[in-house]
Amino acid sequence: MKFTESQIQSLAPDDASLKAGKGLSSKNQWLTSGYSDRALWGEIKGSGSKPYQTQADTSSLAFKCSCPSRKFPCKHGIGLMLLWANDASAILASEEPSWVAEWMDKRVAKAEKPTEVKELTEEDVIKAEKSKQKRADDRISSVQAGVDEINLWMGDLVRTGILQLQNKEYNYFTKTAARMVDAKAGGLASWVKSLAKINYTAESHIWQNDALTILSKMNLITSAFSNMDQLSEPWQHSIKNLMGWSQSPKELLADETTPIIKDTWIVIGQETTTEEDIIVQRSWLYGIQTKNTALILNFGTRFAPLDISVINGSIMEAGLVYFPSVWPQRAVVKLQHKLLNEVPPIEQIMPDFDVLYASISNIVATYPFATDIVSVVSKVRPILVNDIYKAVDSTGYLMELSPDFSLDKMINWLAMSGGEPYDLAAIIRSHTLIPMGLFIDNKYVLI
Amino acid sequence: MKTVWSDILSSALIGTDKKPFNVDVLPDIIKSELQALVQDSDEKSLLAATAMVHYYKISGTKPQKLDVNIAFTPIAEKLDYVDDLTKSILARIIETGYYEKEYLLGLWLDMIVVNKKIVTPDNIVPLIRNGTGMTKNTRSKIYAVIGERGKAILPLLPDFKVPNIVGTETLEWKEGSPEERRAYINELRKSKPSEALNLIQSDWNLENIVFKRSLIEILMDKPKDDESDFLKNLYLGEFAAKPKEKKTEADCRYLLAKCLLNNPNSDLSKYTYQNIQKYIGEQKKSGIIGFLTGNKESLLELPSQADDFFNADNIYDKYGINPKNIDTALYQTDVLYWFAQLLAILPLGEHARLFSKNEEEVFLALTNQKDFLATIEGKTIPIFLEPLCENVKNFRDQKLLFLILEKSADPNKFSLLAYADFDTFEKYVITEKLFLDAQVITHHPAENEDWSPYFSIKMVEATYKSLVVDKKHYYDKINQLIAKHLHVSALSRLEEMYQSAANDHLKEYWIKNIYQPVKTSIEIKSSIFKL
Repeated sequence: MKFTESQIQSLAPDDASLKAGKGLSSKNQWLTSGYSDRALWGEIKGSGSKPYQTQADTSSLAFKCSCPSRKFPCKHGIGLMLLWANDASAILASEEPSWVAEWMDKRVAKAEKPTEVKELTEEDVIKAEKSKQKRADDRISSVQAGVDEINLWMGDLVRTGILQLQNKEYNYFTKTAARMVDAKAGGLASWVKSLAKINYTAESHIWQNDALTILSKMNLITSAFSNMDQLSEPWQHSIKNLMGWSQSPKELLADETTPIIKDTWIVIGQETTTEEDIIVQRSWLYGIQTKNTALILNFGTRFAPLDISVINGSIMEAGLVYFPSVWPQRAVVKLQHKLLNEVPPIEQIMPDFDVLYASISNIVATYPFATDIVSVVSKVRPILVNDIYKAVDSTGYLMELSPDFSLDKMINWLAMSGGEPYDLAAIIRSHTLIPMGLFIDNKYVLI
Repeated sequence: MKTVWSDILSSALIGTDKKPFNVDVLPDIIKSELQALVQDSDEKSLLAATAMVHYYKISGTKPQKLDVNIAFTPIAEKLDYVDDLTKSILARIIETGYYEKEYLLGLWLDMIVVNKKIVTPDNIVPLIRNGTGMTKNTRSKIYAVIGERGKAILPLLPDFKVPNIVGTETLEWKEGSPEERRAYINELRKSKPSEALNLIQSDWNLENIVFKRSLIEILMDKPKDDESDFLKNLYLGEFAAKPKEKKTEADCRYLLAKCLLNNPNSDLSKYTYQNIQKYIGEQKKSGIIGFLTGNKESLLELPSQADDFFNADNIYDKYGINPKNIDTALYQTDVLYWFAQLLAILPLGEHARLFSKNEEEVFLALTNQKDFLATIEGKTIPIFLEPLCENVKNFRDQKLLFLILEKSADPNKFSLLAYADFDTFEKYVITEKLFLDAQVITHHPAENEDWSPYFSIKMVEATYKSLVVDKKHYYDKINQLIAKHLHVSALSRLEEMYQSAANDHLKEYWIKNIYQPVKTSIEIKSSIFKL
């Protein structure tokens, strides 16, 4: 699969690497180069005595380079990919040299090799189970203590009136959030912080509605947690997740019982935010055949770059596994076969916003905490209504655009569509639309 | 449902202590669901009801529908999009440095305009964003290639100042800003000089004096015969000295006099030289130059007092020169001052030939003769050096320019390099080995052209020697100049250096700052020219 320039840009660990990579993206800088149906490679002169050997696995994206850089991919990897993307004739198909074939074969073997499981004695198993159970019980007790405390806090607020929230100092919220973190209820801490983030200087009815809604949802979660024993297993997972229990992709991948959902997935969009020095990348996927949607979460820090295997706007044949939930969305890529250049025909997309609204209602009825709902809607175009840009479908239904949809993106949408209706992939956040990309002539074009 | 929400909200705002929550306001279905749940407090009960009402409300929401059917006309493009190869070059241009970016972008845009194409929709916004802050010329080219879609979104990108595109050329002349009108007439004069002159003449009486001065400046640049006649008539007619006139009118007369003096056959030229000859002593044989360059005791003998030629009225009336000597320390008499002012507008080269002497002799006399030296703050200053520099600016006399550069110690002399022609400049820089002198190299007359192949190689070698061999730093913008102007034939020399140097941090610095940007720029240029 060949990548577009913007996709390659999204792989760069930082701007400096991207810029340096662009500087290495001309043909005559590469002493040798070539590609096969699974790999791309090249040799480039660096400051060392031997040329650097740069290679990329193009089917399940991965890079390797003999340069000393700790960045990933390094500038050579980016340069090589850019060269291939920008000038198709610059790199010719050829037989893999031994250093490429060796690396690729190892990768294939590793992917096929089952994970080695250390043999445990019965005693070890019992001990491990006991320890696990104890940790789980301790966590439940700790979180329950947090739940009790937050119930009191909410109760006091509602009893004395939430009007006081606008006069509260920031640390009123952060202190409470910190206590929730101490109680291992990180999810509740986030909800408290979301109260702090409300703009209390906005029109009163806006912040009042927002604050009351957040409190009511927090109450739902805490009530559900207290009644956990009576809930179904998926609900238990969902509530734990909302409370802040972490989900381990490693465990999920190792679990052979989790069904793999194979499909051609479009990475319809990505959003990267920084939350307390942690870089969080959300990638939303749409399955062409199954109509399943998924959220892939990636975490990084300044020193640990994000995983790059899910490229924004790419189309991949892959198998996903979902974390258990009432509304399974968060997933991990378990199998990745190949990346496609064109979008296969998509059938039965949302015909209009009316049907989309009904679908959202169903999702919310199933899982009231559903947010960032992925959808593909037929023939949507931007429209200016009373000086505000909105989205309109082919039947004249309108949707507000999310405040998270920037003006820059709006301009891009206008430029790329010319105001014409195209099938649109979008995220629905709080009943507003975040357009992500358009389906134009068998291509998926990011906005 | 709105009232229900309001009731819940008012209890929550004031607090259930003061306003207990009344479950009876709830719709029956929610009420019964709520009552089925065991709530241990009024507050929990309110929050549970809030959640139910919230979800009840959003589940029943339907999207808004357009009241009227807003007519939609797709934006049709009139031109085809560029191909993928052309498109890929833009991505490389955008990554180049600021200095060479506009130049390369200009080349790329020219190619698209010539091929009558437009950029693909995904490149519209990046192109406009990069063009913001670029020159009007570049912005005009961008405007020409963004197609109808691009034009439609421009109001959303107000930082991109759209060049004032007026419907027709005539409108641009009739209704454009002074800057646009000047640009228009300048362009028209290049392609259709007669048409430009006709346009100027037909509207002349409607123009204000300031714009008339601009038009005179335009016509003075290598005037054609009919333009010379027009200027001459202005000098004799409209801008002939009048008892009461505006300063700008005298300025116009000065410009016109300068133009007429550039023609040795003009009446003003003849009049001026005949009069100056009067100041040549009788014992000298070969006219003014003979006196200027002759022995020390018999030189140009300018009068110490005003006479029938050098007097305030004549200098003002004939040449538009302000007769007030503004620098008495430099020019000890008014006559010296007036002569200095005349010297700036007398084309020295032409007249040196007339007097059978070379420019060097003339120059040395004017800058070394004792009477023409002043001592200010202990420094000896040739009083005519500044007018001679002005002369270079007025007539771009390359020989005079070279003389000043070679013979003068004036630290500001390098600014005159801006008036050097291509060959003079390169010859001077090569002779004096001034490749890395920022004051010098930035004045290379190549605006958008390549340097000569020989000069390009010399420049590459000089930067390499300075940085990698001599380990000296140099003006850090030189890399940008090289990236913009280096001739493609110098690339092989650049590669040789890249291959030959020992690896160290200076070489890496050179690679990063010279080799890579220069090479990228040349590659981009070559790719554009291959399109």
